[in-house]
Amino acid sequence: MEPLRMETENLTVHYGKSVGVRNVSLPVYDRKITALIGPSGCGKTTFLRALNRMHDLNPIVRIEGRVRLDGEDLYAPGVDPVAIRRRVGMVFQRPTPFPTMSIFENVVAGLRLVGVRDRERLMGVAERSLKAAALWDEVKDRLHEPAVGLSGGQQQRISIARALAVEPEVLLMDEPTSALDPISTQAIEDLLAGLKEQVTIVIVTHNMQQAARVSDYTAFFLNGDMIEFGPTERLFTNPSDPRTEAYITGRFG
Amino acid sequence: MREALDRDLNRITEHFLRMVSLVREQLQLATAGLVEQDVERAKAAVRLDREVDALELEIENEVLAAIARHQPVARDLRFLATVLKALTDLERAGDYAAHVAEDALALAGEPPLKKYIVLGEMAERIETMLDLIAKAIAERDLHAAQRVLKIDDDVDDLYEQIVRELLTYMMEDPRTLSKALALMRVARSYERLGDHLENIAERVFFWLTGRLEGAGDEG
Repeated sequence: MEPLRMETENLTVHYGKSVGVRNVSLPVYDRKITALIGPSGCGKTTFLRALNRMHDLNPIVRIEGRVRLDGEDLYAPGVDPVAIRRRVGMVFQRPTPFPTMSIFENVVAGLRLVGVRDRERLMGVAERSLKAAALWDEVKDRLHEPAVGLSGGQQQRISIARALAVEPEVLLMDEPTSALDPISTQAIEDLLAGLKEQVTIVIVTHNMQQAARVSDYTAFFLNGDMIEFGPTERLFTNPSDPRTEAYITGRFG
Repeated sequence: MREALDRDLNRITEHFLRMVSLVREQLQLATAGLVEQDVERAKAAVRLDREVDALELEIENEVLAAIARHQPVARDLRFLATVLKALTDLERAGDYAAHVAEDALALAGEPPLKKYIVLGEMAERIETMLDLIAKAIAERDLHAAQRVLKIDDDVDDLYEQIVRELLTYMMEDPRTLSKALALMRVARSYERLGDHLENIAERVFFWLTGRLEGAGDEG
């Protein structure tokens, strides 16, 4: 069995009176890419956001069950959600550069927030993170220009570099390429293959071919339930549940 | 997009079934050429081989195009992989039917060594195997695929029987040697043909179940 980095146990997410995710127990293996697939509204993004307590600020959301990182329950009393988000980073669907900041300032924003002031150290982190995000060569000569001047694909890689700068253990990605063109999408997918040597990745994607291409494990969600979880190759060649089969072959509805 | 994929899959299925029925026709003509010493039908069996080969290429191109256009997964992917692998076996099956026809042509000029009863039985069993393969593919009939494997065991038994019989002829009368050897080759062609059909049935089992092994375990 692969070593675990995270896991959920009977995780249920309530939205007011309705249920977004029901009783999901999912292993997240260390330095592997786990893809969450399923139709719109199936609960995959709701599930993802529960993995680093992004629902905390929403008063109508209630969480039941366990989310563990390295065996430790993230929802136990006394756990600091800000500390959790440093260990479990998030990259969103649309690139989120801070508009008034330079490329450099964007990448090190997370470190600034926790009080790192040492210019040399920040520069070192920026270079390492931009290299990990496969962006260094494209921006190294204009680190102090505004990040909003970059293309969409480059901006998304800035968002990834910023998430990597705080050295998270896990990176959550919510449809990171859905706003990008095919070339930028390919750049991000290539990047993921290299990134997983350092960081565990959980990615929500609408693009099944993308899940098949980049992930090691895939979980299929439907109406808030996790229908099937398994090695990606197995799930895409021989799914065990007929609902998974129907979804991935496009026979749905 | 699902509709477009279904259209492509249906066309590939139709063409594959057509190839199965061409090989069946080839086998019937070759066997008639042999048993009834009918030169014309034996020649027709040899000619059909070109049609089988052309169809193989056409289907291969259709499968590659369907993969490129639709990036199929799960059962669709297994179906296309099954067709791609089964094509080679089916083309080889056609070759063996043509070999039988060629041997029939060589044997046609002279009185037969004996009545070809067991060879005829082998040919009949193989025809049934082809029919069952067509049924298994057209109706996704797992049981039909598994019956093909059972019948191939019969074909192998009949092959052993013929070999023993022909050896007896050869030992009793060396003048039968060249004819008996030709018939030995014919029996071998039928036996090989059956093996290729068995391979196809195993691929169909994989398509329908997702399992590469265990096709012969039940059914």
